[in-house]
Amino acid sequence: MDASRGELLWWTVSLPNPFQDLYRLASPVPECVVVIFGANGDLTKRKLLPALYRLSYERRLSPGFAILGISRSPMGDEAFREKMRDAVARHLEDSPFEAEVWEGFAKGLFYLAGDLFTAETYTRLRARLDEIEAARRTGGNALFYLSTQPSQYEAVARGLGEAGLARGRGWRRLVVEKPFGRDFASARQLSRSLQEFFPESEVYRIDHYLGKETVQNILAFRFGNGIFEPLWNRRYVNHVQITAAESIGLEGRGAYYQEAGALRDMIQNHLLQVMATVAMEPCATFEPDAVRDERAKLLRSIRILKPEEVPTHAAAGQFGPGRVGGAEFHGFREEPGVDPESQTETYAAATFFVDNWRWAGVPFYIRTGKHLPKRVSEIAIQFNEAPHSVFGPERGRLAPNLLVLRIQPEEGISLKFQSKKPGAGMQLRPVSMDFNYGASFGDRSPAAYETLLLDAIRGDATLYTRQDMVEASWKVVEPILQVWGETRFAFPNYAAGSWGPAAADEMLARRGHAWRRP
Amino acid sequence: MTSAVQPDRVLRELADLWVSLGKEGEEGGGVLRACAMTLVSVAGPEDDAQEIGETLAGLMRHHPSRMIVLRLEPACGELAARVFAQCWLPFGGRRQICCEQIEIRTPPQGLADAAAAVLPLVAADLPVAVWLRHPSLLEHRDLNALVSLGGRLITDSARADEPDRALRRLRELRNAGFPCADLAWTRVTRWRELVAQVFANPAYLERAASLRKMEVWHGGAEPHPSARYLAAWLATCLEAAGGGVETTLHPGPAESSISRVSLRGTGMHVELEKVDAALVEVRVDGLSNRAVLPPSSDRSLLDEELRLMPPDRSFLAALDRVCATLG
Repeated sequence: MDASRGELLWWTVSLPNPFQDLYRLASPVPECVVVIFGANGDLTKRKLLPALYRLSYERRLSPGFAILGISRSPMGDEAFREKMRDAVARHLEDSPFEAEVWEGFAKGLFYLAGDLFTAETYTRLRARLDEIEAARRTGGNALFYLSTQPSQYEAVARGLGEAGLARGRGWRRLVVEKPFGRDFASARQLSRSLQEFFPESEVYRIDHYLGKETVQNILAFRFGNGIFEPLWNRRYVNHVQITAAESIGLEGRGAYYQEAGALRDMIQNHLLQVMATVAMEPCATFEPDAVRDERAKLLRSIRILKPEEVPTHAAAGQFGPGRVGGAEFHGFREEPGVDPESQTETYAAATFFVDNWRWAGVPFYIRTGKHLPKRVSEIAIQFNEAPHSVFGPERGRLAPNLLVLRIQPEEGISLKFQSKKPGAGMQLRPVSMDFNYGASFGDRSPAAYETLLLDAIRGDATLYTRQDMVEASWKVVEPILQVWGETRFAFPNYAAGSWGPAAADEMLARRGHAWRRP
Repeated sequence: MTSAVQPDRVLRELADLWVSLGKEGEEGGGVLRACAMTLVSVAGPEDDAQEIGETLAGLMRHHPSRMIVLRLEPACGELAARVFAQCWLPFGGRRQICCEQIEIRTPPQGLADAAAAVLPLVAADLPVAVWLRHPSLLEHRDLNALVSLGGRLITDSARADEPDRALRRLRELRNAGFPCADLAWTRVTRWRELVAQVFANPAYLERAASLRKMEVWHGGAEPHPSARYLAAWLATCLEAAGGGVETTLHPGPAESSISRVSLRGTGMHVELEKVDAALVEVRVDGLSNRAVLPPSSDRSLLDEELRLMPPDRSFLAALDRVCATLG
């Protein structure tokens, strides 16, 4: 057999669909209809439709792809298309709006008005889906996206299930936005309600943080390189700091935020997922459940704080008025929709320990807050100091090695190490070796919603959270929520534009550590 | 005999360049040296050296490299080399990112020496790509040292005066073990993507075996290599799907390498047609959609090619099939 024949054989035998070429072409996206509940809402306009349009622009969607929006407001298909056109043109980031591409995309946009609590809506939905399937050849595949108030999740799942829409000729998946409950019990109740109609494998709980390129890059960094994993344990790592700082305030989300708070809004979901990604064991394969099993295992290994440990292992803060760059900012309690006596935390920091062989005794410090000095999300892994300084005490203390994985705004990785200062004598100074994600790949990174929507359509749940992960992370934060709920804080305790309350600094100082100033 | 370029001296100049950039950078946010590969190019007699320089500079953000450009200049009396840096400040960043460039100017009689001088200048432990924009350079014996660097050899058969000859030469090189790439094939990616998207639908894939007639409209009077590649790839795919087609290539508007593709069979019709310079309409049994197909440039094609590690088996199979039809 000649070489070319051998190559041809490889090509045709190893791929069931001969048109697919994973070497160069993007992996195929199955035809389907995305049904968005809450189609008139902010999330649909700002994130979902721009992400779907962008996928269409990038030629990632099949020709028969369709979107069916559902909400209360009476409206026809054309009016919905017009409305979404304005929203997409307005909220599209990093890419142009092409009227001609929109025309093709809009042919697949449909709308249905209805009350999500009445069975009749789902009967009409069924008929509409049949029509769309016949016209667009979507193969019976449907992705139901709950972009509604969390209080409507159970009603929609029930409506779909009772109308026979949770199962069909093709696949049926349900995407749920956070919050996944307010605590462990409500999260479990929510899962049970959804699972009554959709098997857990078809429930996609979206955590947009996991869709960020650089969070995914943590896995590539850890498991694609041989040199870091041997150092990734208690023997070499002194402690880990995970920071998600926002320089802005509430941007009109005062009423929601007052109910949620920083711990529920950021740590329970996003930051514990990031921590799990940083600390999990290597998975055997990059299959969705293999990755999620390891994340879940890590979350279950986080030591649950005793109530008496909470004051020393966690710190709450609320911003008061402050000045940043000459501009005046008012405090949280002066925000519209916020109780002037509010006890909601806009800053939360916590110390967690992972009870396993790899991480025993290594503190993981997590902090997040509103109105901090800058917008930055990063993971800093501080290694132990060199065990003995051969350069003598007069050279000063050697700064420990630090590995920083930056998630935003300048995505990349930096490694800080010691180097000899040029010239006579042996003076050391820390230098930084940087990898800049943008500089090396230069591409526009897909928005998190583009990645996650595409994954859900393809049935790849790797970046979605699972019931056991959600429950494990609620278990981790519940003791803190409970103690804070019973505490009367002297809020506000940090000025807008500062790095948070003194209690957070004291939390680290107890172990001889200090927060990085990113 | 021309005077020699001393690689050690060039490397020393590069080191000095980084020291001076580092000093300049200390006042601002610093300088980051970026290098993911060595990218070698030759500006031959048919090429516009400035245009090649601009293409390479444009690639640096996506593929930071040590760039080595050999400029063939008949008026140049002797071999000469210079080093400089390409720097930019990423949006929102504080630190400049810089790549190094080595330019070697040579008279025609010094080309073999210049090519040999590239070997010690290649960045250690990183991949090498050699871009010979004009395929006639593939036949230049003086460039053997470059070809045998063992990296990717990238050319564009569509630029050849005799594209069929260029395609055959590419096949020879590939059979001799050189990892080749042809930008005429890279141009076909977006078309292939659209076709693949259609047949990702199992209902259409099932009917692919019923397709009997394929027509591809190409730019210019003679079949464009990109059109040949697309037809070859499609024919192979359709055979693998259980069918077989009769293929016809038609001349089309000169401005596009490919302007239209039609696949017909019993009860199925797939058509892709350029409706303007950057837009394609995809029609499948009356269902239509539009997709952006941005015009390609050397830069965009190289950008795509440099992302991939050989071997590209689909390309090799298509190249074989095209060469088989050339006889």
